[in-house]
Amino acid sequence: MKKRLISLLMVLTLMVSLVGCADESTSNEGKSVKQDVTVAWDIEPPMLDPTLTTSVAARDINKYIYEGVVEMDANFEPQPQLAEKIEHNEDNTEWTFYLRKGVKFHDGTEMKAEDVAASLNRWSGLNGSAKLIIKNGEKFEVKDDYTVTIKLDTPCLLFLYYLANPSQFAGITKKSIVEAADSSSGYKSIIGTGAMKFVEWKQNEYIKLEKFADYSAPSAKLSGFAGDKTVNFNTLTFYMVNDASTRVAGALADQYDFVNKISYDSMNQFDGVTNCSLTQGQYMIGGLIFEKREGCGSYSEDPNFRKAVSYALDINEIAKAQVPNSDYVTIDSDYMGPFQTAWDTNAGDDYYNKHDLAKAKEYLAQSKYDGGTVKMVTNTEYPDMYNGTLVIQKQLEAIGIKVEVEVMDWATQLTRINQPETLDMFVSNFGVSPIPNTLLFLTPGRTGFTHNATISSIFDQMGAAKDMTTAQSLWKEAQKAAWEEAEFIPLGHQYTVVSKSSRVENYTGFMGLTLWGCTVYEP
Amino acid sequence: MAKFLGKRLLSALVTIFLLSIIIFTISHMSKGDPAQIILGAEATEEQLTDLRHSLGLDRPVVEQYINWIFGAVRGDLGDSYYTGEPVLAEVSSRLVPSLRLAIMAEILAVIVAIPAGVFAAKNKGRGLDYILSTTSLLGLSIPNFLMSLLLILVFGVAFKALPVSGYRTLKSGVGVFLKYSILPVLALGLGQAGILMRMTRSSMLEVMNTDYIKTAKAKGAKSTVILFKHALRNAFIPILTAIGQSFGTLFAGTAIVETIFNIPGVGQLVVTSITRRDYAMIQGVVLIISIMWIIINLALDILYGVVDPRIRLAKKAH
Repeated sequence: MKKRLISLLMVLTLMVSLVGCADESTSNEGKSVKQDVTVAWDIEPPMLDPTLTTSVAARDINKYIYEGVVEMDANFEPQPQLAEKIEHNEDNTEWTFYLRKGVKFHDGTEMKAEDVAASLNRWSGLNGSAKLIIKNGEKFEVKDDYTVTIKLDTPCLLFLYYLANPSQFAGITKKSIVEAADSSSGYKSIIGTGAMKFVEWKQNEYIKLEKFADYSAPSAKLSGFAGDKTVNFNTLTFYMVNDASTRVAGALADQYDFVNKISYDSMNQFDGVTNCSLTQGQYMIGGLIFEKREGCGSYSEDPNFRKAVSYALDINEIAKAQVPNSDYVTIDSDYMGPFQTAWDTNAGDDYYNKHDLAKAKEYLAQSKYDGGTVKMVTNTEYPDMYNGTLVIQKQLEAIGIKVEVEVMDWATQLTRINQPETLDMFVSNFGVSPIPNTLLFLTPGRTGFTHNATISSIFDQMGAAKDMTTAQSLWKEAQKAAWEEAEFIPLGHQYTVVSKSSRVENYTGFMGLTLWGCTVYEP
Repeated sequence: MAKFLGKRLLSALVTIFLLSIIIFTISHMSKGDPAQIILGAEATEEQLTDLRHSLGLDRPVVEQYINWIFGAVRGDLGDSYYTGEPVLAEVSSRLVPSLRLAIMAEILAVIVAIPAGVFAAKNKGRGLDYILSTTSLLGLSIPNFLMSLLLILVFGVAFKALPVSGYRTLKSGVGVFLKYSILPVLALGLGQAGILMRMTRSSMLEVMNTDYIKTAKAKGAKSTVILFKHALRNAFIPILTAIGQSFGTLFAGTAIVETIFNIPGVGQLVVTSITRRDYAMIQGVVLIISIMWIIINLALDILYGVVDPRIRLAKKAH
């Protein structure tokens, strides 16, 4: 009976794909512009404080409300946003930010240097990456109403990249809000300078934003997260739709203008559909993380074991299991995103995706592996991680490594990751990193558990470098050093999938659903 | 009577106390760190430690329990770790959509099931009986989630007649409210209708064979009068019991339907709170629901005692 029902459901799905959208027109000519834009969102953010949480769900909503002093452009280069001009001394220790005048907060007051300094000082105290460069409690100081300065103890050529990092980003809010914030719930008032202001948050239902009439855009055109972020609609409502199949149905039924996170295995339901289309969403690098904290006792502590694993893997097969559609994944040894051309390197090509079982067995024989069970953990919430883990298990068993996979929910996995004695490796994803120095999986003490003295030393040299060319060539050395020790195995540069209605024009999405500048038409 | 009431109240209080220990222990036994969920996978250990401290998660478990239970006695179930909202207010606001959904589904089930059950009984062994019985079997065999998806695909996606998800209150207008309610109510109510229809049919068949129905027929009473006035009234007691029991099942079943249709009810709250490891919310919701059931049972116990003095006397005799 159940099999019949499932068959019936599949037939209906097919019918729906064809019938539901067959008579839709893709032309928006003559239609009026839609003022109330809707998005089906996958995960409710824990808070709308851009600086406290690292949640991507929060980041992508916060980007409408808050702006930084600098923001990343489409090439992942930092550009002035709330700053008009930025100056620094020759050794990159003294930085001066000249702020744009007349920029207003959503409550109508003007943004001043004291607000910027307070927000940035909070950011430098909370953001794990910021602490890598602001090590000794250096502070952003107010020079005058429109000028903020900071004097770093250590030279940092890449300072603006840290400042423009979209993760746990340095969004600017009022000084009074920063002072009232606490470490559990974050900002008590949601006020920024962004193109949209916060209106209402009904828990588990929606978050509603409204166009900010007094938005002060920089003169530069929109590029990535930087430039003029004016919106062409009055309200933007993020409806919290946790269930993946409901989000797919919402896209096919044209109930939402945009739908975030379409699962990879639902993509075929969009074949032949004309009322909406799929496109790339958030970027992340998927990877195999070795538990190698000193003294944890895992097999992964041994570089020869890691190399054996690396040579055993067929990344194409793993990536296919994780992301079946090749338009949403790029296989590359590079640890930085394919779009971050400034950091492009092929330093890992000699080691990556070799699937050389003889060499893998050679390294395994030299390793401390004693035929015991290698433990991996994974979860069911993220099917890409789960599928990738199962393929890795199969591939490692082919060279004689016994692998036990423990499946749990994501919340439990996050806890297990912090219990090094209970696992050897796992598959996970990382969001975009503006520079190599902030790649978590290469940062000592962070997820990835890398403690490679050569890499740390090169990263220090990159910070002290005088120019970008030097920093970029140093990165090649660092990545080579990482590959020589098989510190981290990228399993593919992946994009999530978003659906946008055919009533949308000029959509340029960047690292997720960014709707600045796009126009949505009424059905 | 006062002694009877006192005993019942005391036993309810002991149950609630024991329940509070069980609820607290089970939620804290589950692995997962609320601070990690709030701050995200990339948060630093320093940030996590600060937040755990701020939420009181670094205190001894016994101390956490004592704080929680003393707060609960004063009517303060604490604040949600994730949203920062008071648990009691959040749960109260979520009860309305869940109850509304369960009541509407129950009404639908009764409206569909009772006439169908009566007609199936009347036409026992004929085509109509087979059709109705098979349909009811289908209704109760299809799990809620599958029924929800089928309805979404047909009415939401293919015909675009109804929204696939969302919740609107009556403030949005009766039309809008109904539009958003139809699919979840159908998803929840149709399965229940299947159960009630079968119960009505069997109960009716039992009554239809009794002497007084035969007498009514012999007296030449109209078949509709026999069915609805004589048979259904007498068959109604077990049906009523089934309706009462099914309401509890319906209320529990809203979790899946609420998640699929994105309705901000108690079921959805429980599901999301578990994934977020929002212990404060999980404990609060489970405690409130448990207390509700204990109060209902206590009220029933008292009512039985009031209505039927033999129950009181029997207890006394013991």
